[in-house]
Amino acid sequence: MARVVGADTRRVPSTSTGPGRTGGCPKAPFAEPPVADERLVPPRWVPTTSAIICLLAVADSAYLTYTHFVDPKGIACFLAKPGSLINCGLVTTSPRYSYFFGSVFHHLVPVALAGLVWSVVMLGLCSPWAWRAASPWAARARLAGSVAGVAVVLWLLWAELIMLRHICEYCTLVHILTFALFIVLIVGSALAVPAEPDAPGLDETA
Amino acid sequence: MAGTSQGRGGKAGNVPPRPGGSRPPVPNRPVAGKPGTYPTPRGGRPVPRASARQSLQQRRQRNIYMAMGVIGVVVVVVAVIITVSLTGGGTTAPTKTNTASGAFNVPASLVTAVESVPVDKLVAQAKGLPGTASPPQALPPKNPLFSQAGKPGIVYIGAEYCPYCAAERWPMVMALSKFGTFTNLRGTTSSATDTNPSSPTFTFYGSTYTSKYLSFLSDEQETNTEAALQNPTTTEEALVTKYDTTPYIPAADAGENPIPFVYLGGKYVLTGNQYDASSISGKQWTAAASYMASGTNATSKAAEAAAGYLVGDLCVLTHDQPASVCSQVPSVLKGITTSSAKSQTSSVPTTAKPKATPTTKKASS
Repeated sequence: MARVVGADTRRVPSTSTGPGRTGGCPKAPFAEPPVADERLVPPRWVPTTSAIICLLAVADSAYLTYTHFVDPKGIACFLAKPGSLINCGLVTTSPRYSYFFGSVFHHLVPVALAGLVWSVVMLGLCSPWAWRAASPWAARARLAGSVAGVAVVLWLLWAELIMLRHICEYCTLVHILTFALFIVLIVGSALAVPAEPDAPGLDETA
Repeated sequence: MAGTSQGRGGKAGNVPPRPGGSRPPVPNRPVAGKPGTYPTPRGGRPVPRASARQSLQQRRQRNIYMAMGVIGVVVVVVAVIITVSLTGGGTTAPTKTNTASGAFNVPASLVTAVESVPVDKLVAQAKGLPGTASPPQALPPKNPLFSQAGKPGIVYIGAEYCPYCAAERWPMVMALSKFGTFTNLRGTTSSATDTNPSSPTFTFYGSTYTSKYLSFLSDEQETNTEAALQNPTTTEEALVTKYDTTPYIPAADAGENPIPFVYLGGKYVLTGNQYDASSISGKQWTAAASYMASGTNATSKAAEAAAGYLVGDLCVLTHDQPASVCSQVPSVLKGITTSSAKSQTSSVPTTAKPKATPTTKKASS
């Protein structure tokens, strides 16, 4: 019969280290704790919400990337009016701010494309498979990605509101989604609990 | 006293009473899950699982506070950006902002040299109808005269970063100076990272134009580093939008809010620059001013021809006033227009498109 690898079996005290015992190493007087699962499990709404947010971000940034490469001025800016704060074309075609480090590496890394890549990566990290991953690195990458996203959003907000003095409705939607994802992941991490020790693979009898 | 149970394991009658009185009362069993308490088994050893639950709860509480703090910091940063934006000078207001432009002072003598290129010289260059410069386009005759303060109104919308605006300002200064006076004209260069980088030119930002015959409204929307500078009024933006279509702009460029945009009294319009000034890209301002006022090279001749076309159209708007200027303009140039949109434009604030016309070799500064 295979050995049961579970907490209950290890908790049996073994103090027979006195005379009469033959051979073998003395066992610990108390049971060792069960092997802990490092995985933290967030509330159930967190994976679902984060995946939905990422899907919306992918759709939005895909449209921005499409317009950037195919029809930069054809962007459908429904809320724009003459003299208003909203001017999609002005924001999305800015030589300096529609590219990362636009003043140094001209036309090298479009912000729209970077946004799409980020959204797709975050969608992968927020997929059900990634949420079920045993490795703690998935959660770390997810959190680091959302922090990086918020940092870029703050830079873009500065560029739009302070430097260009116009905003783009699609960009703003991505900003809101990025911030929402950040809140969901941060709150989800705060509320996360360690996976149950009797989770599959821990105390199953082989 | 005898016969009473004295606690755990006590048996009636077998255990003598403790000296000094009765045994202190056993405290109540702690309630599981309550902070600071944990259930203990008979042996007094804490149950590890309950302890872990408690520390988990404390850790959770701490994490929640930390999460709220992090979110709060981000919200504060966003609020600061929005506040700075709102207090930085009326984002939506059609008024001029106080953002520092990329302008610099230039020698008055050189400004005068550009302003003083004689009318006959402009006319002579334009009369040859060179293929290197284009006149403005005609607007439908039924279009009402656009006037400001009782005078035909000229509207210019551009940006300091825009290389094509940089080209267009030279003939505009040459032409408008024949009908009025600029004060506080300063120099600037176009964007260092756009087409024809760092083209020296004037900026209309901060300048004033006084004339008996014309009114001149100018808006430099952004600095040469693309910081917001001036916001066109709703009327001005509506004009740009109205003529941002064929036949005033090539179909491929329609919808791009072209700059430079020059609206001449409701009768003529420019949706791009009139000529190619790539040869002055990268020059020092003083060298470029001398170069453009000289009339001895292809670029300055093209600029003079462009100015000649403008003077011809402005004379129509002013009904040949002042006579000292318009009497020198032959009738063939008065109201001269082009029927197709050939000029190059920068959209607001896009990068310029590759040039369709042949470009001259870039001159070193």
